[in-house]
Amino acid sequence: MKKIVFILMIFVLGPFVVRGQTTINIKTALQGIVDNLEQLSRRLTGNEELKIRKAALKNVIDLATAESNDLKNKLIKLEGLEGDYLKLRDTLLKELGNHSNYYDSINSVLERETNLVKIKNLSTQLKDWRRIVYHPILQRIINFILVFEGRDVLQLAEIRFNNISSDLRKVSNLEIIKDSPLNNLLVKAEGSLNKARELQSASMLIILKSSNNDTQKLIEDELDKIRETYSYFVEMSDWLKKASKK
Amino acid sequence: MENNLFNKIKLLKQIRPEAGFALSSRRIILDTTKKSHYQILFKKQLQQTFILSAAMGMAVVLLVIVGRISSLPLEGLSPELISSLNSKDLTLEQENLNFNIQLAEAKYYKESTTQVTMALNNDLDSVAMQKQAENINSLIKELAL
Repeated sequence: MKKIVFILMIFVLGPFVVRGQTTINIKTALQGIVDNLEQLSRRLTGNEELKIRKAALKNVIDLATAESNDLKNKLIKLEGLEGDYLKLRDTLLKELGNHSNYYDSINSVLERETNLVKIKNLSTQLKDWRRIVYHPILQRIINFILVFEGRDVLQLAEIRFNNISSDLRKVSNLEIIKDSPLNNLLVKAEGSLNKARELQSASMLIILKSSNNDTQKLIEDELDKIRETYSYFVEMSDWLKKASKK
Repeated sequence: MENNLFNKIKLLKQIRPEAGFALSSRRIILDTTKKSHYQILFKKQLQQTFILSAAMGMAVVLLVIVGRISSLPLEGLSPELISSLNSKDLTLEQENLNFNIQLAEAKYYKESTTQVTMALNNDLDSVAMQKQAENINSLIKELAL
């Protein structure tokens, strides 16, 4: 029995623990970089500078690793992927795996290196790599995650809309419903929901083609339309509350 | 012989219970009768109340059923009739919208990439380094993971 409870706790609490740990790792690494930058801004001896630059580079690698793990977890957590989207998710996961290998290789060089100039070169190498390789892939991963988060939120709103429509149909013969603003609000909600659907479809097409920055804008607009849909639902709920008190 | 028998019977007639025993027995008998009477009354009352409550309950159920299927206008409307408009569930879903689409997180990743790449620049002077430290500090504060 205890074993079952333990396994259940791992399944239920596991993702929160992993996420919490990732957040702590990211914050710790960022704080380390801040400390290193403040130390480097002071007058230092050659040995001190070497030590701090090595620590700074190590913190950047730790940060990159923590971010990479966070993104991997988010991609793995996405459900209901099929066809090209499943292939793209696997490609993105593979890219993140390559990134981890790259960080490991930089880290092993860093641990052995004792020359300040070479440490600075390593730093430049990592900076260029992040700009040329990491940044475009990161943009694509973020867009991919956002689009599927958008899909899930849209599906939830659609389920809510269908339930409200079905409930309203059941009581549509009541005079109080016929004369109410509920049907009109439901039509408005449907209009917003349809626009959110169009934006979702557009973003789903874009993520297959490129790492276009417009994807984020589409998702923001879609979220606005879903918010609008919910505002109509809330208006309906408020009317119902008032009507039931009469 | 016959006289003898009558005398004996007369003697038997004089037998009386002891005064204390007679008193306590009378009390027990009287008490029992009293209790039984009240119990019967209580039971009857209980049965009547139960029957009345059941009848009223049935009447309410019938009224609700008739009310639901009737097309007559209602003065008030029960929110349970449209449970999908339950305000608690709706508010919860509405509040979770921002959490479920993590645009803030996307913003963090974008800024983090820029700031950390700048921090890796070897040519920063002490002022630029201080400035960069401040930028990353703000990033930590805004970190919405």
